[in-house]
Amino acid sequence: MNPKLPDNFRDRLIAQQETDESLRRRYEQHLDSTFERPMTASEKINDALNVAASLGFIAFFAYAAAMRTDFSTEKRSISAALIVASLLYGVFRLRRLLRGTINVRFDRRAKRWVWIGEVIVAALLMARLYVKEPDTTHTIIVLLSLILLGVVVCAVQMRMLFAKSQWKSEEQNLELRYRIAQLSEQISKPR
Amino acid sequence: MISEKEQIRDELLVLKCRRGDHAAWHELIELWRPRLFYFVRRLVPTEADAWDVLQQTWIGAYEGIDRLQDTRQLAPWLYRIARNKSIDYRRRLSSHEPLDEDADDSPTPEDEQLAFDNVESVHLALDRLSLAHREALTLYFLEDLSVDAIAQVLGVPPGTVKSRLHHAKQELRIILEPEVKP
Repeated sequence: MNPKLPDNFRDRLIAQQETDESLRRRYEQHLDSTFERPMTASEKINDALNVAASLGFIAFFAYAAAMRTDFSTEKRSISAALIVASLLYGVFRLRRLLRGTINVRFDRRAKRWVWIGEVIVAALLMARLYVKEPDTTHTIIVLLSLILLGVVVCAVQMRMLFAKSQWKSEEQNLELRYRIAQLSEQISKPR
Repeated sequence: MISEKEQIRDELLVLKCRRGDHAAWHELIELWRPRLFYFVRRLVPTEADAWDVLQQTWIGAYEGIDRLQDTRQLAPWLYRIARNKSIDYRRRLSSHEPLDEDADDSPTPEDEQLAFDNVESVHLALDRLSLAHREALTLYFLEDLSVDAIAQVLGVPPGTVKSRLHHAKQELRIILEPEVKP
């Protein structure tokens, strides 16, 4: 505590702050939606462009899978997977666009999954390229890209795992220190 | 300064929030609501504005919690977000009184002992101070922050904070004096 201020000054000062109960209740009721904020104009444009791109991809891959008679079953499977990925991505963006708000809590997790989806799509596209023209140059490009992709994914995962394990041990340490602080506070309390 | 127990509890909550523990988020929001609201209320014109800014503050905190490297810096970090959101809000309202106004930052002697016993008068008088003095003194009164931490929140050197605090206390004393005299 600040030695220059009287005891419990902070709490007494804060208690002086009058609040309108209805405003406070509204804030508390909407606590869960605290993390929901309106989208900016550039975010809306960005989402609209992404939805349009997803639709374009869906149409392109659907045409390729359905109309190309020379396509093998593998190529059709890859096209179907890309349609599903584009559809999921498009739906995510469209839902957000229609809602007009960004849910920080939900969108953060969703963004991670979209990123994973994009990596899978990139891998599938590279595989498709390889299937299409399996010459030496393409093989090297595909292999190098896959290695790079693997390294990046591994690095991100390792970093996350390392941070998580560090937080876990830090958390355990703090739990212990908190209990000690609680006990010492109880002991030092005048009876 | 806050107690060791409070400091550890805050650090623990930050770690739990980082790993997405919703209960920890609610606890953190509930614990910090009175202090942050008091601070924000001093910076924006109406109570409704303050609640809005507080919501924006929590969004900012949620988005940035992973970037908070030192968990012990939670208090200055939260106040900094709250202050920035208040500045943005005031800008949107086209307020003509900026938070970073040119306060009198001339060097001052060491702070003298102050006896702010009448909390109600202090609370009312705070709103009559200039914004730069008000925010510095509010942070000082909320007791969570050292001069260095207040400097971090306000984005000014510690010397400036000391100077602002000194002048703010003088200003406050002048406002309170007629009430103090019998």
